[in-house]
This record gives sequence, C-alpha cells and structure tokens, in this order.
Amino acid sequence: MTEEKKPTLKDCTLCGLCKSNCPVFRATKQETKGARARAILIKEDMLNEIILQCTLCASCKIECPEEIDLPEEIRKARQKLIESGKETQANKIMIDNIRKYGNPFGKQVAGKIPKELYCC
Amino acid sequence: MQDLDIQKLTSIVGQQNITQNPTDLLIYATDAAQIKGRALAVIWPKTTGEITQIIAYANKKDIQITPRGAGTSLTAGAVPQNSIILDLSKMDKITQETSDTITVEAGTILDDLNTHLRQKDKYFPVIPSSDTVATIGGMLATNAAGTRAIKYGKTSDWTEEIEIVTGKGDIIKTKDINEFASTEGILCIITKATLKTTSLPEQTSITTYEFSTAEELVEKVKQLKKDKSIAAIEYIGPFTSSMQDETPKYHLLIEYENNTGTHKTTEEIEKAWKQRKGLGTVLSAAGYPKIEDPKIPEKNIAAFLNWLKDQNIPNFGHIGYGIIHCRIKPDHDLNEFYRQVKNHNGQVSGEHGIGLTKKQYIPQTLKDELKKKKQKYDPKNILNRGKMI
Ligand SMILES: Cc1cc2nc3c(=O)[nH]c(=O)nc-3n(C[C@H](O)[C@H](O)[C@H](O)COP(=O)(O)OP(=O)(O)OC[C@H]3O[C@@H](n4cnc5c(N)ncnc54)[C@H](O)[C@@H]3O)c2cc1C
Ligand code: SF4
Ligand code: SF4
Repeated sequence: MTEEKKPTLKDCTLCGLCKSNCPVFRATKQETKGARARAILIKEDMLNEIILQCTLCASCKIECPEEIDLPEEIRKARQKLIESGKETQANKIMIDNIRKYGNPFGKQVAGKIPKELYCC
Repeated sequence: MQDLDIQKLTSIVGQQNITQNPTDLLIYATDAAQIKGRALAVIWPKTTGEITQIIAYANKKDIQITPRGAGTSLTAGAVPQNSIILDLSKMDKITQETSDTITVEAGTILDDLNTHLRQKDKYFPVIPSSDTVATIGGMLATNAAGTRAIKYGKTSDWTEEIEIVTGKGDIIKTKDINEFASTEGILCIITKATLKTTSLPEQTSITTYEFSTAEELVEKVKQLKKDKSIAAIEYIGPFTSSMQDETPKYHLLIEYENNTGTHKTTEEIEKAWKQRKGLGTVLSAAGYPKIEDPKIPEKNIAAFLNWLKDQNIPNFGHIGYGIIHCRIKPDHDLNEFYRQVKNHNGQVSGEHGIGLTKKQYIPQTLKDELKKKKQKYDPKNILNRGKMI
C-alpha cells in the first residue's frame, strides 16, 4: 500500500480560509496578522515577529481545505527563528526565569526546579 | 504618479490604520489567485468619510487605489498594481435592522452576518464557498453566487440599497444595484449595503443520481429545474468522480428545501455535501489547481461537457445555474478553452469575476460598456486600474 503524502505549504492555494477563525485576525481585522499571512511568510522564507504572533490554537488547520498543518509549520518556523537568535525579549526573559527559578515569572517559589523543560 | 504623502494619509486614518512596512506590503501583494502585484501602502479605513478624503487625495495626486475585502478573489481582482490597498475589513458593523432587511458596512464577513441572523431563524441566502471569510463588499463587487444560485441567484438579487463612494469622491445611496454589482471595484468603493434576509428552510433533503452521458444528465436537470422546492442542482463529471474513487459517471446532487429527497438525516446530508465540497482538494492534489467558472446556456451544456471529456479536463459545478467549474493544469493553454466557451455561447465567468486573469477573454462590447461607466464614475482612473478593461 502506498503511503498518502502529507500536504505541505507547497500545496497552499492562498485561499485565505485559514484566517476565518484565526483569533489574531479576528481581533485585529488585519490580513497581516492572520493565518494566511503566516502561510505566505513561511512560503517566502521571510520569518519575523508575525510568526510569533500566533496562539497555536490550530483553528487554521481545521479550516484548511488542503488539510495543511499550518500550526506545525509555524512551530518549525519559530524553531528556525530561535536558532538564528531572533526571539522576543519577553520570550528570552521567560526562558531565563524558567531555567533559574523553575517558573516564567522570575519569583522563587516553594518546590523543586524541574530537571527538564517542557513547552507546548 | 507622485510620491505618497504618508503624513497626509496618516492624518486621515490614524497611525494604527496605515502601513508601509515591507512585510505587510508583501502579504497584501497577492490574493487567492496567487499572482503577485505591488502595494505602496495598506490603509484600513473605518468610515465612509475617511474613504472620501482618501479618494480626494488620490485624485489630486494621481495615486491608484485597489479596494479589498477578504482577498479571496480567484482572478487577482484584489491584487495591487503599484497602488494603495484600501482594506475594508475594519468596516464591519451592523448599522440597522428590520424584520426582513439588515444594513451592514461593506467589510462585514458573510458568515458573521449569518451567525447573527440565525438567532432569529433568518439568513442571507447567497452563500459562496468562501463565506467564512468573504466580505459583503467583495461579494457585491464580484456579484458572487453559490451552490444555491438556482433558487437564490446572486448577491445583487438580495440587495436593496448600497452606499458607495465613486472614483470622483461622490457619496451615493442607490437602489440601482446592477449599475455597480460585478464592477469589481473599478467604479466605486462600496461602503454599506442593505440586504434582504429570508427564513431558514425548516427542512432540507437530498437525492443523488448517476448518468452515463452528458445528454441524459442535462435532460434530468431541465426537468428538475421546474421544481421550485429545489435549492441546489450540482454535478460532478466522470473524470472528477473517478479521482474520488467513484464510478466514472455524471453524478447529480439535488438539494430540496423540504423532505422530498431520499437522504433526510443530517448525517446523510452532510456526507453528500462533504463529497461535493472536498473536490477542490482532490483535484489540486491530482495536479489541477486552477479553476475556471464559465457559464454555459442550457442548450449547449451537453456539447460543452463532451468537449471537456475529450480534453480530459476535470469538471463539476452548479449545473442548474449553468456554471461549469473546470480544473486546469498550470501549463494549460486557456486560449482554446475560452474559444470553446465562446463557441458554446458561454460567458467567461459565472461567478468569480474577471479581474486581471480573465480580462483578455471578455467581449469588446462588455469592455466598451465598462469604459463608458468608468468615464462617468472614475474619470481619472484611480480605482483598480488595469482590472477588467
Ligand atoms: C475557496 C474559495 C471558494 C470560493 N467560492 C466561491 C463561490 O462559491 N461563489 C463565488 O461567487 N465566488 C467564490 N469564490 C471567489 C470569491 O470568494 C468571491 O469573489 C468573493 O465574493 C470575494 O469577496 P472578498 O471579500 O474576498 O473580495 P476580494 O477578493 O477582496 O475582492 C474581490 C474584488 O472586489 C473588489 N472589492 C472588494 N471589496 C470592495 C468594496 N468594498 N468596494 C468595491 N470593490 C471591492 C476588489 O477590488 C476585487 O476586485 C471563492 C474563492 C475561494 C478562495
Ligand atoms: S487555508 Fe490552507 S490552502 Fe488556504 S491559505 Fe490557508 S494554509 Fe493555504
Ligand atoms: S494556530 Fe496561529 S495562525 Fe492558526 S488560527 Fe491559531 S492563531 Fe491563527
């Protein structure tokens, strides 16, 4: 049996349906902040802060007629951004705090500092 | 064309509602037609008054404007051509409601409108497949239709009044919808629309048929069209059916707004529609990503379908309304395709519009008519220059 090919952003038709329930688009009503914007930027390999302005809610994945896993592509793009040293100041501070205090808020609280760090 | 006076434009809409950031311009350079243009700036107006000021400025400085709703145009209608994008998405308020009409700003998304209306068991019945994002302004500018066009027609059929700002900057309220519907933002910016609403059907049901020949299919469609309780008559061609692992025959799907159909449960109805609506994905994956939407007169549909079959062009569509969706490979020569549409007395577009991608195929008579209107409403040609004509 041949394995079915998983759709990727190469299959994206720019239809725009992914922004329908994108909370960031709904809140701003700006195409530049919505799910299709992130699809365009990843396709064009122009990664920037718009990739970070996403809740990873996966609503875009549900709406996509091509069944593209956009949140997964966004996760990979974020990884690339971090590897190239581009991340938000808030993110850096939170990670430092988690490493140091075991929580993102930077306060010493009771309990152990975890050995491994987890994220969504 | 002169340089943009961004300060002037910012003074009209405020800093939050204008951008020249290169990333933003890249994102707005395209729409669902996947063709790239060039935007000089993006503006999100919030009032009709702001739009008139922007138009006045554009006239004075010979700056071009591309109106935009959700950017789901399949013909590059919303693609900027060295122009300012005027995105109406933030004009999305309901301004007035009666028992059978609703007035909304042009950036209102159809699905949001229908979610609101459903609370009163009402809805706006012209529903294109892009309804979760498409705006009322974009739907009027393209005169969008949908699967239930046979019963409910086009967006203009359900519009009582529109408010527009012409290319000259005049604010007009008019009931003459046909003067401006289908003109794809080349004459005016639609700012508001009073839409007619209707009651949700109490029940729907579905019947499906299979036919071996295009002639048998069309004969059945002719018969069914007499039944006023039918809201949708959709077909899937044999080549397309085979790609969905169905028998390579003409499949017909009929939606009744009563219980006449053989499939009556919600599950059965959803299953039948899912197969019809999932076609796009299957055809894109099979290497046919482009979509055409000619409208063919009933008497020529069978001959046109036979030609498509000979050419191995997968097709499906709103056959009750004459719209035949054809899926095309990226390298396919469309000249012969549109010659055949013309030979079968068809229209170039049944619902998606003309935009940039189809303007070379429309008849000169239509272009001449549009040019006359252009002279009347937008003599300096600042609105959506290069589209349609
Ligand atoms: C997945 C998918 C399915 C589709 N299904 C259908 C379908 O079933 N039926 C159908 O008819 N179409 C369909 N379309 C095409 C498209 O969705 C329709 O043409 C829709 O009406 C466009 O609305 P929009 O808000 O996205 O407008 P846009 O794409 O932003 O603009 C379309 C045109 O209208 C102009 N315009 C936009 N807003 C205004 C305004 N306020 N004033 C003046 N001009 C304006 C633009 O300049 C452009 O020329 C589909 C598209 C996609 C991607
Ligand atoms: S819904 Fe899917 S195909 Fe459409 S623009 Fe978004 S990612 Fe691309
Ligand atoms: S996962 Fe991100 S891009 Fe997708 S809908 Fe949610 S917020 Fe928008």
